[in-house]
Amino acid sequence: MSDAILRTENLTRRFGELVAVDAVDLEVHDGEIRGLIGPNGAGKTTVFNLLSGMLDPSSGRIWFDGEDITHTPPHEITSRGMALAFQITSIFPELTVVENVLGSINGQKRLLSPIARYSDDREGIDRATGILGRVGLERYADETAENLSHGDQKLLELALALASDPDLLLLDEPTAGLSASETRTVVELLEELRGEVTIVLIEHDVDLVMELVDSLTVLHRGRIVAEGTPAEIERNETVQQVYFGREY
Amino acid sequence: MALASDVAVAVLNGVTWGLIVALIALGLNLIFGLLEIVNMAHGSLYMLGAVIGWFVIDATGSFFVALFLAPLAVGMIGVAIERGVLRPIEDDVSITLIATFGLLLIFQQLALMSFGPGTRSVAAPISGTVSFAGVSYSTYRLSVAVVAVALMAGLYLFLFRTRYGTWMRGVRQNREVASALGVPTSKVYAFTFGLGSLLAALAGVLLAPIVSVHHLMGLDVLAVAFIVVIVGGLGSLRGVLVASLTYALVENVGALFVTPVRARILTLTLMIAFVLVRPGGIFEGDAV
Amino acid sequence: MTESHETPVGRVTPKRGAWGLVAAVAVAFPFVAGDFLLFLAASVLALGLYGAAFDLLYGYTGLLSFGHAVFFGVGAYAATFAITDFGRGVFVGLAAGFLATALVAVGLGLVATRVSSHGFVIVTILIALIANLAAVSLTSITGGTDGRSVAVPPVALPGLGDLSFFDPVFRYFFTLAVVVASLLVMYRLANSPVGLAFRMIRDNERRARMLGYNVTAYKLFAFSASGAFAGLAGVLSTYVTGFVSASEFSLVVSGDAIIYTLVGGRATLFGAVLGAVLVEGASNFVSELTDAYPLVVGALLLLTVVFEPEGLVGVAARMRERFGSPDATSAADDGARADDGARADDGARADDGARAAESESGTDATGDEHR
Repeated sequence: MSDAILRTENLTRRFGELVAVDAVDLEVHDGEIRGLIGPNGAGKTTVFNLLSGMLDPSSGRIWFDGEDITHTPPHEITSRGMALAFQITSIFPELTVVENVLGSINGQKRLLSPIARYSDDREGIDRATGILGRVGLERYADETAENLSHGDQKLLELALALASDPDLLLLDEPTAGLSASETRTVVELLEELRGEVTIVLIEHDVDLVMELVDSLTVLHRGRIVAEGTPAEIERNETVQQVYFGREY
Repeated sequence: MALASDVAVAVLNGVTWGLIVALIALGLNLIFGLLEIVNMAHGSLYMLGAVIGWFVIDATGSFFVALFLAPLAVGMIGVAIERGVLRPIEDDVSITLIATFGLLLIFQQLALMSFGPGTRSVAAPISGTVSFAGVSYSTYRLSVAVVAVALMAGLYLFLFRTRYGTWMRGVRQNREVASALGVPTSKVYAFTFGLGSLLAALAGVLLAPIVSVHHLMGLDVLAVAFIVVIVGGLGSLRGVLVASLTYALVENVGALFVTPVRARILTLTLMIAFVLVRPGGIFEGDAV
Repeated sequence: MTESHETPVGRVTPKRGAWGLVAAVAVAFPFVAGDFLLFLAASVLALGLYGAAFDLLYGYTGLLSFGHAVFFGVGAYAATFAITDFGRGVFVGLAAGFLATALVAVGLGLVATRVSSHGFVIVTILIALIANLAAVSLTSITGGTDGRSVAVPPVALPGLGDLSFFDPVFRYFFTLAVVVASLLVMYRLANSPVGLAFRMIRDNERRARMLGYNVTAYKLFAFSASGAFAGLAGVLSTYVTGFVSASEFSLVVSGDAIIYTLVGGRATLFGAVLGAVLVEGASNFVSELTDAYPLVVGALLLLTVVFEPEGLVGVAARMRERFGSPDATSAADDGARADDGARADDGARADDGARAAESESGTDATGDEHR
């Protein structure tokens, strides 16, 4: 394992009296797939919102690629190479599927043309089509996104994150609500991305997590209670107590 | 001494006007806070209050009957608007805005057709002046200020001490949770819109003896109410009060030096400039 | 479902055929219509451009503005000043109207885009009301509601000599040319990567920001471009009527833009032109309507938003759906079901208080903290 691509120190976020994320020190290594697990309300989604700049931390710092990004606005964090796929799909419903992905690709460009037709952008459309192929949505390229099934919308969500060509991909329950075959598509895709992109994954499907990730961080009530390889976590007693014991 | 008493009267006028503006804007902000509807017809509900009030006074000869009937009528119009027009389209903010704009045009035109294009005056039910420390001030205006304060205190007590008020605050904070707890949200919405309309109309009748009644009188008030809501902070009630008084004082004192219209334009522009500095309003992130 | 036929002039699709028909009608119109109709047609074309400019902001970017009357008025007055006070020609007037409005729009846009989305529309309402108040009261400059007449100078075209705006046919073609050219430019913008960004902001502003778009800058650009073309429409309107007044700034004029777009259909540009033709045509020919014009506009606004928010284009699409392709309807049904699924998911999670608090505050915080 090489250097940490992402590091947080004392990361904390309060909502009124609720401390959703409590002094989290996280270190994610370049190229790994890290699982972020914990019972409902453990603060996992809030951690993602803090990392991606959607929320400002109450205290603590975040470094990405060696640079302090603590109070950087989300669009700048995205251009530095971090992408987030939301748990609740957040796509562009009235655009076609390929327009969705092309828009995501364009988001990385400094200056966009106000007169060229985007439908003439062969290179962009080819890339978009390629990404749609990876998530298995190629045949729906010209369909309006809101007409896709729930599962396909989740895959499109993933495609949007991939299209920004990230070094670090934050995935919030990418397989929740997906059929078995759609879940297979996602797992195969993540296996393909292993080594190419660093991935932090929130996932409730324990078998899937154990199969995919290199290491796990367990959150409980906003704090990190355990960290280690899947095998270590399975044996960890605290984790058994707070997580597997009660919830499953 | 002449200048000093002019200033004193301007300040008193500013306070009275500011309290009335607050009354109107509170209704607007309540509707926004609960229903997320930016009600462009709010100014014309104020105008309707004055116009209906004029007709009632014309028919009955009594200002106080008008003060009772006109707001009630407009309040019922408000409930009807919420139920009939806005309910089916409440999910889309811009669509509700366009609908209330349509209502504004309709109300204005109906007032023009029934009331005529001219301005008409209403005699104040209380005449005379009060003198204090060398400054004499209209008794009626002073009474209006007192009534406005009483109404706002009543509104506060209503919101914080009654069941309906608690429901309103509950819906405002989280409509799903409130609904799950058994709050009849649909009734609360209609009631809120009716209450806001009633307050605007009440202000209209109260002001009728001070300003002249005219079918376009709602437009200026709309501008003032909106700026006050923006500067006070969308959804913040105490912000509205502070912004209303500030606005009215600046405008009235300014009118000592330039024409009233220019004073209004300048004050509105100043307040818009304030938005540039502090986009979230005076009390950023206030809820109730 | 698109049928096309090979012909000597190339493939003819229904779409191309319809455009050809529109073009033919537009060009043939002056040879069959009388002077009054030509005058009406030219002013409706100018209003159509005004509606399309509004559509660029509302239909494509999702920003509702009640301040477009200000742009229309600023354009009209800028051209008036250029012509009557500085003795300039028609084209300088057009350029002055376009540029002055663009500048004003940038300034106002800086304020309007700073506040949250509801604040945006309120600020535009305020701008409209203040500008109206100022225009009506500054009679020495604007002429108030009585207005000023504008002597539009003739245009010298090579080979055609001096052409006067008193000539109804020239006036019509001049207006048509400027409107068509403007529509083409707006069409290119709407279908460019920048236009795609506009639509992304309309559909999902939060996500567009996450994907790296500087949403505020794009909103400002959309506001300014839309304002500049609305200003151009104001110039044309002044050229057609030879008259300008403070009434251009009234709130009803802002309402006109909304009604054209709603009647014609959002995010189509040409729909707004169609809307202008219908609304203005109807109100000019039914004299009962002319007297109570605001009442008609108000009622139309209510009726369209309550019963047919997609406008005429939406009605056409629904007809196609119902009588044309069965696939489209079933796909739409799937969409609805997918929605329900997503909502059920939310509900299932909402019982977990902390989580619900997380996602809610998440949304709010983005609104406030990184704008």
